[in-house]
Amino acid sequence: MDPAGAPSLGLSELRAALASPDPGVRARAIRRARPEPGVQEALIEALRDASADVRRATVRALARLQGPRATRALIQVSTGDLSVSVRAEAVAALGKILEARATDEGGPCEGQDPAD
Amino acid sequence: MMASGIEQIDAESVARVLLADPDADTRWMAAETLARSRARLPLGVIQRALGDPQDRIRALAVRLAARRGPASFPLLVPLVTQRRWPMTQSAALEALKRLMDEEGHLLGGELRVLLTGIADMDPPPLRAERPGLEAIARAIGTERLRGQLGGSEPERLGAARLLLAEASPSALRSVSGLSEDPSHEVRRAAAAATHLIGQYRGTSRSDSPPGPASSSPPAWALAAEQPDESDLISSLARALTDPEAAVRTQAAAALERIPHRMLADWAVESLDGGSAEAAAKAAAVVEHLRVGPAAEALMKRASGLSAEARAPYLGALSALRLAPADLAALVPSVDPIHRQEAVRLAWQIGGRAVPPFLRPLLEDTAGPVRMAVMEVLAESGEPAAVEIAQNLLANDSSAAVRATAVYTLARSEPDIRLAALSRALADPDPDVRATAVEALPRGLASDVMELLLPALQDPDERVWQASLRHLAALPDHELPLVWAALRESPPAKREELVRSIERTDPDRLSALALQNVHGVDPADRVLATELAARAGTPESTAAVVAALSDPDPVVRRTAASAMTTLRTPAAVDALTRSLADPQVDVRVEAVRALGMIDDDGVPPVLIGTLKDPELRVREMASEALTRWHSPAVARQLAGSLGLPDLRRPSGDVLAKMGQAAVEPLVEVAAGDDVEAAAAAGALLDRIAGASAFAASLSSIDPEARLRTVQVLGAIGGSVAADALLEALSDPDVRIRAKAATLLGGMGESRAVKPLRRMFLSDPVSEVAAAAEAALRMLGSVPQASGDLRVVEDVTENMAEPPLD
Repeated sequence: MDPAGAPSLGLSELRAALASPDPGVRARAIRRARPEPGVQEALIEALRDASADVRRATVRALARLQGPRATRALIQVSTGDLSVSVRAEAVAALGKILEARATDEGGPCEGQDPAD
Repeated sequence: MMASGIEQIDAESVARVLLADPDADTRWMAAETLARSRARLPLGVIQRALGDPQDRIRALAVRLAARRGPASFPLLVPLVTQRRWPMTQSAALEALKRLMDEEGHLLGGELRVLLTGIADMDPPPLRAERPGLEAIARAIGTERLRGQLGGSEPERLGAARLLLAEASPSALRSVSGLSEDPSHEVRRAAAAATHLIGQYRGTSRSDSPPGPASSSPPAWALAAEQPDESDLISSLARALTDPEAAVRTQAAAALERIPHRMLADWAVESLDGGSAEAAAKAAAVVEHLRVGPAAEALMKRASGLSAEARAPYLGALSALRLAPADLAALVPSVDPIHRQEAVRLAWQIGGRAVPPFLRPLLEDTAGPVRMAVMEVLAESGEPAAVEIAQNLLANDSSAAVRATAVYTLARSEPDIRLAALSRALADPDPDVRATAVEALPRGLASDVMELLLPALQDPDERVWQASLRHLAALPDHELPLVWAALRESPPAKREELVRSIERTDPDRLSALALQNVHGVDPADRVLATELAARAGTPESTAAVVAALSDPDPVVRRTAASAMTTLRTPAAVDALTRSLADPQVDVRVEAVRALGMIDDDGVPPVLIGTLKDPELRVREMASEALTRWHSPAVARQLAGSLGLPDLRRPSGDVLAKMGQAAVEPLVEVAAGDDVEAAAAAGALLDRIAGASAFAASLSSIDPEARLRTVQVLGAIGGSVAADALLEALSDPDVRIRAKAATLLGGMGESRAVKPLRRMFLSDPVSEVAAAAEAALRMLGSVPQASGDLRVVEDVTENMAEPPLD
């Protein structure tokens, strides 16, 4: 479900939207994509989109998925994308993934209240 | 253009288009035409086509290469890992696999190139690449690849990745056994193999590998495991070095939210066994986030690197702001072979507060560590450094440590310094003794300076050489000490010292000589004269000239001998006077020196010396004159043939001079001095022979013929007589007359008949008179000259000459 409450998109709808020449349409479609088989691959392909906005939206979507391939794709984007904002987004996403794993392993961060 | 079936000659034309046409589409058409044909292009042509800027054209060139069979392996193997050209890479993977299946195996070197290329792939083989690599791994054979797992790192990693791609249970087991491998990447491959083995077990599969038609996910898909925490931290660490501040800030913020224990574990692992890149990333993280537990690993890593490669680790260690004691406490954890570097690094990072905490390391078993501590203590100005150095000099088992202590003590208070250096010069190890001398500061106090003379007598070359360098650099007011060193040194060391002085300041050699050239002891004057000659200044040259008159014959001989070095015309007069020296050796050296001086006044002096009563002097003069080898000298020598006492020695020298003496001798031979001419003629006969001159009688110049006749007369002998008999019929009156006279003088009996004819028939009375005179000399006097010339039948009475 899109944060704005718009209906989410399945794989076929997503692919159709990604074929749009309008980057705004493509970015919005990515934000509304719902996790289902094939979506992750479509998103990874979208990391090659010419629009930095679309790629940034894709990074956020992949960060939500957190699958192995999605995480590897984020690692690549964090050092390889030509757009500063996309790389920064990917770095932030990787930080969140790592933080989540650290929390799962137990033990709070230094300076962090154990009660949080 | 024909699509197929082109002839070889056409193939060459098409290949030219492929290599040279500027239009990419045209080149592609050419490549495709060749690929469809059966043409076999030379490997050089194919190699150039493989360098085409278009990937699609390179890919077609791969097909052309494959047609050449295993000979194309060196071209194809590097392409297998070139991601920059995906079509080419894909074509190369396919072609290589097919060639290996059908035509032959890779040679050892080709396999190494392949494995190294695969090891260099970063990131590791991707999904699209793995099927091709899997096929290649099968074509190579798992047995052969397993054999490469024991090789060097890149080949080991390449083999592990290929086996991982091949993914048979036996291949995976081989790779999983590398979990303790020193290479992080190999360990990762081992972990992936272990993971895959677990997958197989989890699906209850048999030990057989999944076939291509299997419904199970392919091996490469299974290998696409979740990136672990290490991968994620590593990515964030890399982002810390992003060119954009926004990315770096984001990375730093992300890393700060991670537990330090996790970061420390990752940093220590990366610093301990990671690649240079991984370790540098870890150092960056430690520096940004001050990960204290990584300090030990940082120190270990930094100590083993060159100074140029250390910067990231030193920055990280500095950022940790460790207490001096904590910093020093890191040193013992470092491997002994790098620990001395750790000592210096601790000092470099922590500054003056650190050395006191390094003192316990003076008990370290490794000498280099004790040396490093001593150096740091001395460098830091630690008050106890002198006492520690004294103790080490007296007791340490390592010569290198004692030598280091000497350096410290050489800069201490005068009393301590003198005692320490005296002790060091008695050390059994030459390194320590040499160090003691080398450590002596410039501008020595006189007491310490006295140590130089015994050091100069040291049997070890390093020690006396070190002493010698100090001596050569002593200030002018210490020249007496330098003089004493020169006096007391054997020739080899003296020569070294003189050279050192020359290199330092050539004028000092002159100063040394002039200070001692009037010494009371003749030995001082001899040495001073030698040095004066070597210095070669105007003042020192004058001193050498003056020494030619020294009362001591050894000094005079040294001075004369030294003149061979100076070779100054100003010494000619003085050396000439030395030719009257009562000492033969002095005269010999004076002649030798004169022979080296290029001055016109020298040859007459040397010629006069040919009369010296002493053979060695005469021989030296002869040798010197011969060495000149100049026509001018030869002329002077030839001129001396007129002097009875010089005729023989001068003649010997002229004979040695050879052709250079011929012309001057001819002049003398044609002269009026009969005895000198005879001597010159004899020499000319020895040097050139009469026949060499006989040919000159055919000259068109009557003067030249006349002179030749005179020379031949001086030479004498049958060859000369033959030539003179010819000259009796010369058209020139003077020549006929001279030849007649000379033949008569020579007593040449064969000349009687021609002389009679000349007497009877020569129209010139002057010539007839000469013939008559010659006949008289030969004892064949005409009865009545007037009648004879009228009535005698010349043709009847010429059969035999009259007997004497």
